[in-house]
Amino acid sequence: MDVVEQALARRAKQNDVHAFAQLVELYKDRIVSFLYRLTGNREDARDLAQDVFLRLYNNLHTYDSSLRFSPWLYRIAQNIAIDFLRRKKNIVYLDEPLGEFDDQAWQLEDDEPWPDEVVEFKDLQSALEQAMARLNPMYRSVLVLRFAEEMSYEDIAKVLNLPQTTVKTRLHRAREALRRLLIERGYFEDSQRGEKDGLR
Amino acid sequence: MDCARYRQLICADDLAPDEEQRRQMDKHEAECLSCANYGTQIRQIEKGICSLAVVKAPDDFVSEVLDCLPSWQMLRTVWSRWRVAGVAVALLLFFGFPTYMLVQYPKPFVASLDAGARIEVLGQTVIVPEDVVVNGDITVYHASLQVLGRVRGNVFLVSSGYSIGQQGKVDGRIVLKEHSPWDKVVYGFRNISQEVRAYLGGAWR
Repeated sequence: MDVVEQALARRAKQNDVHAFAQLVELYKDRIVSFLYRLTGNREDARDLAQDVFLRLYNNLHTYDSSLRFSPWLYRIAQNIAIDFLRRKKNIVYLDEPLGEFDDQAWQLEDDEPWPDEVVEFKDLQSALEQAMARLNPMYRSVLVLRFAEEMSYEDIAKVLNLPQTTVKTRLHRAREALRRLLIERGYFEDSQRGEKDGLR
Repeated sequence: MDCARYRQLICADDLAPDEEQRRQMDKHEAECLSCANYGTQIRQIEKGICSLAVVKAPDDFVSEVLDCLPSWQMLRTVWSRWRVAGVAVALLLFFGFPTYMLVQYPKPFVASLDAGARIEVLGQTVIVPEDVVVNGDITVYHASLQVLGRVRGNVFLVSSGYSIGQQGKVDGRIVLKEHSPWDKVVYGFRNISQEVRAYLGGAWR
């Protein structure tokens, strides 16, 4: 698969529009889904996906065809999504250095109270979607890349332009933040109580 | 196994625990309700993210993206696709036609051991005039030979025709020979190289 993509990217780089169209066809659903998971809005995801592929086309000349294609494309998508969220919410996340794991590290995207209608989760799926929407995009993206896109740490590190150790730390914090959000809303039982009682 | 080790292992999704670790984790889960809950929650989260909603791109997504490409880039693409063919055709026309002409209609020439004989070449015709006597053989290439005078030897006609006037006479044999296509090509390129050398010589002067 990678070889095919690399070959298509190489041809697209040489201004072969048909190869470019094949790349778009190959990745369109994955990129739209990825963007939806980051933005939480279908229309935004579709519009942004178009921007992703246009930026891809304009930057193909910088693509090193000896490297794997998908992390490079996801990096473009990630940057576009973060720019979009930044514009939308005026929040800066990804490039900020993170402190040690504390209450601030798993902060919510905003301090607005949860609307009543989303409090009652129908199932884990909707609970997760609601919780993900409230998660810091930095954490959201690392969770999506790891568990939804099933990327390796190496590829996630390439997408996020971070060392692998940072990716692992961030993933751990993201998972913990999500778990705490679900506990906060009463979906999960607080297993941390055990810690307060003294872990073995 | 303590709680810290258990939680470290349950979160390390890149490192599958070995059989012994797995056994110890199961044992710890059975003993520690808090960690059992924690493990279940982590697994549920990971599984849940795995099956988050998939959104498909619209059917006309690819064409919409292609429509958004700047038109000059599309032209550049068309140009890149056809430029190789275009250059090939131009080269073929530029060099092919003269080459074809030179191969099909090579320059006529005549070879004779009689350096003093006045043999005339007019266009594609080689003429031995009425008052001229050629002592020895002559060979005519790519021309029509008109013998109006006398040839005291054999006449070799290579890809050539001939006619003998009322006063004309050939003492020896007349031998006709046709060039093979390959010979024609060789002659053609020999002519080209002669032309080029002549042109360059003239240009340098």
